[in-house]
Amino acid sequence: MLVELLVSMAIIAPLVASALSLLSRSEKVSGAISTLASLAMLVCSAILLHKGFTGTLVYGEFIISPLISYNMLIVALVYLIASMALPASLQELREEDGHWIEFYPFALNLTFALLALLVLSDNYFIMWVLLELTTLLTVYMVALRGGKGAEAAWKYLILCGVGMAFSLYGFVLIYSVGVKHGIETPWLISSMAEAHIETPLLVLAGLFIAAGLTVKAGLFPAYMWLPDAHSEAPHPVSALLSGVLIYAPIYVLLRVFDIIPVSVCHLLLVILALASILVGAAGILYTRDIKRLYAYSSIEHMGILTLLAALYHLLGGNQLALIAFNIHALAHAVAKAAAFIASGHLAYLERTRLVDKLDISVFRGLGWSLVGHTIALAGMPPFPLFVSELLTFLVTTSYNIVLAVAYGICIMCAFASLGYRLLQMYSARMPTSKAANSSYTRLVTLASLLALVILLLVTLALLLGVSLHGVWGGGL
Amino acid sequence: MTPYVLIPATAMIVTALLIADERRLLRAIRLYAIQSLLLATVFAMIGLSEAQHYLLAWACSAIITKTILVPLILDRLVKRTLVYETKPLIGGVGTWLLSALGVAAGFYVASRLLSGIEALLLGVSISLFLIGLVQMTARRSLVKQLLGFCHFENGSHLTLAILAPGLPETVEIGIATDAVLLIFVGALVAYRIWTELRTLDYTSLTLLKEEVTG
Repeated sequence: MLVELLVSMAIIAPLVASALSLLSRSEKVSGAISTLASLAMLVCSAILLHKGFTGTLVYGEFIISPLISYNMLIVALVYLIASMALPASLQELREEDGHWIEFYPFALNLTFALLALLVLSDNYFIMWVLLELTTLLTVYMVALRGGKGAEAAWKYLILCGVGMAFSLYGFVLIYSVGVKHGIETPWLISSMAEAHIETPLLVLAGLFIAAGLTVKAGLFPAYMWLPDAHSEAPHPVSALLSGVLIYAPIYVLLRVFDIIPVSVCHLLLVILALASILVGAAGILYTRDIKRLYAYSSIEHMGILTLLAALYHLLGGNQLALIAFNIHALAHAVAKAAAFIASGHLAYLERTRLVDKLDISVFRGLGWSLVGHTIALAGMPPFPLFVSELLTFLVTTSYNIVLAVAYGICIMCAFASLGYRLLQMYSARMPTSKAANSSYTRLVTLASLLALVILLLVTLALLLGVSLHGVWGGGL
Repeated sequence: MTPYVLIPATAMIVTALLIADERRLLRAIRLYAIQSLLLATVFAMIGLSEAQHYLLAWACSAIITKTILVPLILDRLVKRTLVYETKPLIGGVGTWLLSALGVAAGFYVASRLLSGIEALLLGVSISLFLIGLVQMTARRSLVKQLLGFCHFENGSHLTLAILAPGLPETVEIGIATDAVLLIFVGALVAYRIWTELRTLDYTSLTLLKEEVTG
C-alpha cells in the first residue's frame, strides 16, 4: 500500500505541476510549482530506495526495486536542479521575445513525469512510447528560441525519429520470438529474460535496438544532433537532456539486453562506446562554445555508461560493472545538469559563450561551482566520477587487457581535453561589459552549489560503504 | 490468411513510389492518405480472415490518425508555406532505383524470416520502411522528409500487425498517437523555420555551421 502511494505521488506530483503551470503567467510561480513537485518526487524516491521495496505494480506492467528507485532518484535530482533554474530561463526567453513560451513549464514538468514512468516500466513497448514522447516534448523545447534552435530541433527530430523507428523493429522482433515460444506476457522484459531464449532473431533484434537507441543516446556515429540541441536549448532543458534524457536509452539498453543472448551486438556497443569517448574528447578541444563543450562531454560520458552496460552483460551480470554504472549515472546526471544551468546563466549574464572569455570571478558562487562541476566531469578526485571511471578500468581488465588499454587511452584523452578547457576557464579574466545581475541568479547559484554538495555526499557515502540495498554493492 | 490481402499491400508500395516522384506536395499528401487507407484495408482483411477482431480497431485508428489527422496537419503546413517541393538532392530516376533496391532488400530479408503470404506482407512493410529512408536522405524538402517518416510509420504499423499478434491495445494506441504527435511537432518546427528563414530546404539550414572553434 505504501509503495503504491509513494510511486503514485512521484508520478502525479509533476503531472499536477504541469497542469498548474498552464495557469501561471509568473516566472516565480512556475519555478515554485516545479520545485515543489521535484521535491515531492525526490522524497518519494528516497523513501522507496531507503526501504528497498521490491515488487510489481499495475498487473506487472510496472515494477519497483532498489535499482528502479535509485533511477527515479536520479530523475528527481535533475528535476530539482532544472526547476530551480526555470525562473531565470523564463526571464531570459521573455527578454529574447521567444515564441510558444507559455507551454514551456508544462512540457518540462510533463517530460519529467514521463521519465519517472519510463524508469518504472517493465513493458518495452511502453518504454518505447515514453522515449518517443519525451523526444517530441524536448524537440518543442529545443525550438523555443527559434533560428538556430529551430534548426537544431529539426536535426534532433529527424535523427532520433529514425533511430526510434529502428528500435521499434527490434522490439517487435523480440515480441514475435516471445509469442513463438509460448510466453504468456511476451511484452514484459522480466518474462522474456526469465525464458533465456537463444535464437538468431533475438540477435537481429538486439542489433536494431542497439542501432536505434545509440542514436537517441547521442553516441558515435549519429551524435551530430546532440551538441546542436544541447547548446541551443534553454538551460533547464539542456540539463534535462544531458542529465536524464540521453541516459534513458542506455538505461533501457541495460534492461532490455537481459533478453538478448551475448553476441555481436554487445561487441558493437563496446566499439561505439570507445569511439564516442574519443569523439567527445575531440569535440571538447574543437569547440570554444561553453554549452557545446559540455554537450561533447556528455557524448564521452554516455560512451562510458554504454561500455559498462555492454560489459555487464558480456561478463554474465558482472556486479562491479553495475555498481560503476550506477555511480556514474548519478554523478554525471547531477554534475552535468548543474554545469549546464550554471554555464548557461553565466553566459547570459556576461553576454558571451566563449569558454576563454567567461570570467568566473565576476559571479563567484556561480563561477566557482561551475569549476567544481567541470573538475567532477573530468573525473578527478574527490568526486564520484573518479571512482566510477576507476572501477570501469577494473571491469575492462577482467574482460580483455586490450580493451583495458584502449579504454585507458580514450579516458586519458577525454581527461586531457577537459583539463585544457578547465585551465582556460580558470585563467580567463576578460573585462566584461558590466554584466547585469538577474534577480534569479541567486537561485541558479544555489542549485549549482546544492549539486556540488550532493556530489560530495555521494563520495562520502561511498567512502563509508553505504550499501543502498545492493545498488552500490554494499561498500567497495 | 486470404491472398487478396496482397492487392492493397502491393498498392501501398506503388503509392510510396508515386509519392517519392511527386513534386506537387499537396498531391503527395493525398497519395499518402490513400496509402494509409490501403493500410487500414490490409488490417481489416487480416482481421476478418484470421478472426483477429482487434485488427478492426487498428484499422479504425489508422483511418483516424493516418488518413485524416496526419494529412490534415501536412496540408495546413504546405498551404501556409510552399506547395512545390524544392529541387531534390537525387532526382526521380535515382530515387526510383534506390527505392527499387529497398523493395528487393525488403522482400529478401522477409523471405529469410517468414514464409507464405506473411513473408510477402513483411516484405511490403520492410520495403515501405526502406523507401521512407531513401526519401528522407534523397530529398531536401522538409515536408518530403516528414512524408518519409510517414512511410516509416506505415511500415512499422504493418510489421506490428504481422509479427506482433495479440499486442495490448494500449500499446497500439500509444504507437499510433506518437506517429501523429511526431508529424504535428515536425510541422510546427518546419513552420517556425519557414517564418524565420523563408526556406523549407534542408541544405539551406546553415546557421549552426557558424560554430566558433579554436
